[in-house]
Amino acid sequence: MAEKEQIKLVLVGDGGVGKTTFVQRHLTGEFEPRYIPTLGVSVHPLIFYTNFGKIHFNVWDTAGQEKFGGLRDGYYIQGNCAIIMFDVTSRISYKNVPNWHSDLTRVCENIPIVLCGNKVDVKDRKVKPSQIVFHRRYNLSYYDVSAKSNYNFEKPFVWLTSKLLGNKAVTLVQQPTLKLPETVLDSNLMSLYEKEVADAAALPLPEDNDDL
Amino acid sequence: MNNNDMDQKAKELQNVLEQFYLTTDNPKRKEIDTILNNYKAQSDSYEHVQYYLVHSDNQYVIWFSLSVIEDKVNKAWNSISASSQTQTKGLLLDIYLNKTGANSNSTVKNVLPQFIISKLGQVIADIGRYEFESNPQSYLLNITSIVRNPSTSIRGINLLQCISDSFTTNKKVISQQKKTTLKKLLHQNSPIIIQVLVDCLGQLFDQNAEKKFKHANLLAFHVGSPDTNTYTASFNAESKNLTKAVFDALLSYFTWVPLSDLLVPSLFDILFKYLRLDKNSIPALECLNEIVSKNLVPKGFESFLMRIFHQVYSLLTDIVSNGGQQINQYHPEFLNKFTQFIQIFINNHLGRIETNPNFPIPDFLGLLFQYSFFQTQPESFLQCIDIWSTFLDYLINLSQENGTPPPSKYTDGLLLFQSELVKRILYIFNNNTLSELDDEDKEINENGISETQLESYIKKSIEVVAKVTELYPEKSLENLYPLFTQNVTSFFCKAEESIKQGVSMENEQQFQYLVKDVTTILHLFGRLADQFVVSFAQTFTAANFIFQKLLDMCLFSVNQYIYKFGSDWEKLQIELLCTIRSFCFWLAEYGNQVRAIVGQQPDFDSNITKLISIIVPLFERNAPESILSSAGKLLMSLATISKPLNLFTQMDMLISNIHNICAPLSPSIQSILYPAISCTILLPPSNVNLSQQWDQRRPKYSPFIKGITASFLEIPQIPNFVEGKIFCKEELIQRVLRVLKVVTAIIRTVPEVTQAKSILHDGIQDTLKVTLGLFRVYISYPIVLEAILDFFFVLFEFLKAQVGVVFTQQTISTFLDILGGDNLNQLLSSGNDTGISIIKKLIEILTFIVQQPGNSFESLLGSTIEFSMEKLYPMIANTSSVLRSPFFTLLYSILDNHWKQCQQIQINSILTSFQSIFKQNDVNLFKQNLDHFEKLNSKLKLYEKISSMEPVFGCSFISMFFDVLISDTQSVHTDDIIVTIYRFASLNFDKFFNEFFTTFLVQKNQLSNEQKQILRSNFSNAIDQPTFSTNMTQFINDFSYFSFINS
Repeated sequence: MAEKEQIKLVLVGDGGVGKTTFVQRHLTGEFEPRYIPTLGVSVHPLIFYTNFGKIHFNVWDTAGQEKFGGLRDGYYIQGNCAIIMFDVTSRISYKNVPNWHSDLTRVCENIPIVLCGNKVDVKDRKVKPSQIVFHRRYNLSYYDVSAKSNYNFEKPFVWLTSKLLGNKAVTLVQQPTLKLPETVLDSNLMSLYEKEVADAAALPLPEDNDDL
Repeated sequence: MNNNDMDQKAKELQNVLEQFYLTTDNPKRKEIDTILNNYKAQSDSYEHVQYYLVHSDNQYVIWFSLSVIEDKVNKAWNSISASSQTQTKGLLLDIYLNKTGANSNSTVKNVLPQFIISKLGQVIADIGRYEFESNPQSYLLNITSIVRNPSTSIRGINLLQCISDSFTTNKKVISQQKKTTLKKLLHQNSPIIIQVLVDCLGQLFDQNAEKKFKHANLLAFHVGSPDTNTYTASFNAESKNLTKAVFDALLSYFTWVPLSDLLVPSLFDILFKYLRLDKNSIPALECLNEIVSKNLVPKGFESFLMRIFHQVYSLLTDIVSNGGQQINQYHPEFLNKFTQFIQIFINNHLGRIETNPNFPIPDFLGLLFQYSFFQTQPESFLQCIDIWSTFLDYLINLSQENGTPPPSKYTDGLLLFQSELVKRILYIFNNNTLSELDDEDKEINENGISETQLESYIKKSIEVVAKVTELYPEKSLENLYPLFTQNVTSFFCKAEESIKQGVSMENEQQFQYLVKDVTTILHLFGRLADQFVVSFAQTFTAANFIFQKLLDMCLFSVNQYIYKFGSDWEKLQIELLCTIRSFCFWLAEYGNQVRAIVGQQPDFDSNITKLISIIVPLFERNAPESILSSAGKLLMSLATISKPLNLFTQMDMLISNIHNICAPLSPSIQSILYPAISCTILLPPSNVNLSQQWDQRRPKYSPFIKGITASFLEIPQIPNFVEGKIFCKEELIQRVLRVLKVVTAIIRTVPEVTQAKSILHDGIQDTLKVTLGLFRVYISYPIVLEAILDFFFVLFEFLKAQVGVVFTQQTISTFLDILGGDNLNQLLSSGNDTGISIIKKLIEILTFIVQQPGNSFESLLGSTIEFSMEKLYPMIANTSSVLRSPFFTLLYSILDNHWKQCQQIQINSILTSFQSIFKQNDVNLFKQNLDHFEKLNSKLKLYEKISSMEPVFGCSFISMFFDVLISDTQSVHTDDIIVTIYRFASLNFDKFFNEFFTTFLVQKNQLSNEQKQILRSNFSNAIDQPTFSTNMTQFINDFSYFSFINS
């Protein structure tokens, strides 16, 4: 793949799931917590440096709301790859994934597509990992992501690059410059505690007469 | 307008569209976007595009033309004359059937690209929504005849798929009532459609496939007479395309047709036939995957499940035949789908088949075993391991629920599986695969832990090994024990011998693999340590042997500085410490047991003494921080989990010397080691004379704390500390930060024992006063402020009873006094990340105080509300500040805990701020605050209170939520908003329907009166929640639909 070639990546999903927020993590390093609906389409260049050279994505960040849809599926024309995003705290946004996939594949046949569940940093997760099965039907890949914490930000792009290069093993030689996360997943400590709690649950409790 | 003019317009449109797709300029693209959408809206564009469709060969123009027609179909189809409708339909159908290359005899030179063909089908299907609604049989008959015509067959099949997508759409482009009708009609006719598709597959199969060979009675069982033959086929390009089209269409129906309507023998027969094709079997497998994915299964499904199982059993037998050679004949994508199938099958239907005598589960698992270990790719192997994990979870849950031992029929097989799985994570057996996995780049996994691909692979495998051990603990431990007694201990003997001989430890590749393997085995036994507790008596000899060896190996590693041999050796040393740490629960049980047997206490004590003597030297030399961290955590676990009887006296020398040991260490290591010593002093063992224990421990604690805080306490006494700007010196700042960090860590880990907390509080009492005093001094040093606030937050959280009301009030008042004035502007100025962090910490402290039960802090309530609403809220309300989330949590906590103590004007102010935020576009904050409202309603009947505060009950809030719903700004939270509206409405349904709803509609100018009347009449006055929710969903859809067609 020549360095000068640019890849059109179509980003779709319900309004409010975090598409624009996600893509802006790379572009400007800003996290915009307020929801400003995307009108029509905004195209953001995203560049990654990989072991196969510089990869230039043009991300077509599309409107998720019908009334701001403009040309709607016309934005997908000649897309090379895509990301379908939903919100793991909203069942309805996951239910609408098949619609987005249908619209997308009607225009772009046989392109690699990643399904992303956003906002995994939020505690009240309603679409559990075990419930996410849509991607298996159509050979999509799936990643939990969080725009807020930068969790798994680069994974979808690495996977798409790998597919576009014929399943080559793609690695980043330079980490993308991202805004510092608003939410830090402090789960190293939590998971350690969780393991100890789980182990402790398997134990007969030692006698303890400590007064509180 | 003549043709020349139209051709000119087509050219202009082409230029505009090409610019749109090729430009790199976003503003220009938006400008063109506007031009295009304006052209779409022109009344004559509909006529124009029909000309373009016939005369233009540019794909952009053709696509755009279809898009214009699509809009017309959705918005204003019935406003077009019948003759014009017929003309458009005829035009589209003519292009679709005769100019898209469907006809092999076509002489069309420029066949349209696939995406335009698909668009054509979609628009034709969208038009079909109108015909299908009035005469479904006739409509389907027309499509069926297209299917049956060989020259147009593929397009007919495509149309069957298109109507499945179009007639079941979720988009708000048709009314909810129409959606319901279309889906119902399509569902009623789906058997006919599916049969048409099945017939197509049957014909294609008969024309192209032939039997390859027939199975003799090789299978373990027979059910009915299903076809398990294998077929070979030679599809030409046309047949291949046709077959793909049929499977795509079937898959589309399978996604929404209930399983009960799919239980058709002819359907399964044809799927099984295609499944056994030596090529092109993937689509059939995808369809089967879709079928077994469905969770709701009707009666009678079990017989079909048996047929599926039989077929898959046969297929699995084929795949694993020839000792693993046969698997290479299958396409990787097929194997991937097949693995998915087994996974779905086990996930969804295992309970239905596991106890059925007709299902030879052990044999099936034997095949799955082979299938799993024949996988050559780590990713596909882990997918298989996931299946085993699901199966093991099933057995574990079954055993726990029934209170019975797991079935013995699986024992031998699972132990063999366990052994083979262990081999997969050891280099000595699986060097090629493990070497390919990345062990450099760390990625955050789903649990937020940073690990490499290799680490993830090993950990996942170990988790499954642990599940087998949980099911069959004694046999599993017996099975795995030799790994430790042979591999690990012999390794250290070899290492010791090599060191004696002066052999270099860094260059021998084979030795490096051994190091990695030993690290993995230690990890495994650390993970299994809990089983030695569950079966303590039965496994004591083995566990004790392992523990003794762990101590010996750890001693060896410390004495020999093995971390200097390279990163793998460093990891090994860390793993040794972690594995010993995993045995702390076992040590606790061991300690409890020996207390009842006086003679065994010395042996136990010698273990502890030895462990301490191994760990302490690490801190006295320049070992890597990663090792020091593990050692410190081990000490902490020893003190807080194992709680050996005599630990306090055994650690006496370390306690006395701890400050000399800690002095050269970094603050982060100090923050681990000091808390461990603190817990050692403050946490007496169980079943002893507590009074005597505290008498011994209290005198030790005071000098321990003073050794940490002395350098801090003397700071204010430094001459000219403030006036002479001495506090600005870097050394002093670092001193403050270090001491605060350490003391905060000690407080955070204080044992949950009143006496312990009391002792700690006594020890740091003077530190509290000094720290509070420094807060004012360091007001211009955000980093120090942040550390001080963090210190107090942890203090209030863990020692609130000891700190007391008076000091807490004094502290909070100081914070509000200092931070509530001009300093707030300074701290919140844009770009001041530390300042924002400070205010965030303050909000968290206030929230914590507000949440305390009782009225102890009532005097702070007024100043907290004042600070929040009059100072902080105006500064962040209309910004995108990250403080808004914790701020509204604070407001919620005030209402939740102190509603009765608040004045009405304060409550109004708070509720108004919530209402303002609900109107903004922040989806995350909206969600958080909606949850807060629901909680307040559950506890305090918030909606009832709001209702009584407003002239028309709660109408400002209900109206706001309605506006949010129809604006779609919070569409991801639609379900939750409807629940909230229902709760408001249920306070007085009469008023909701007769007063609020009518008034609300009157004010919506974007709808006509007729449309409003339709909305109102469709919204029945049913008050049960499911119907109300359905009505709301319909209302939202139809409101959007009417707005859409009015735009």
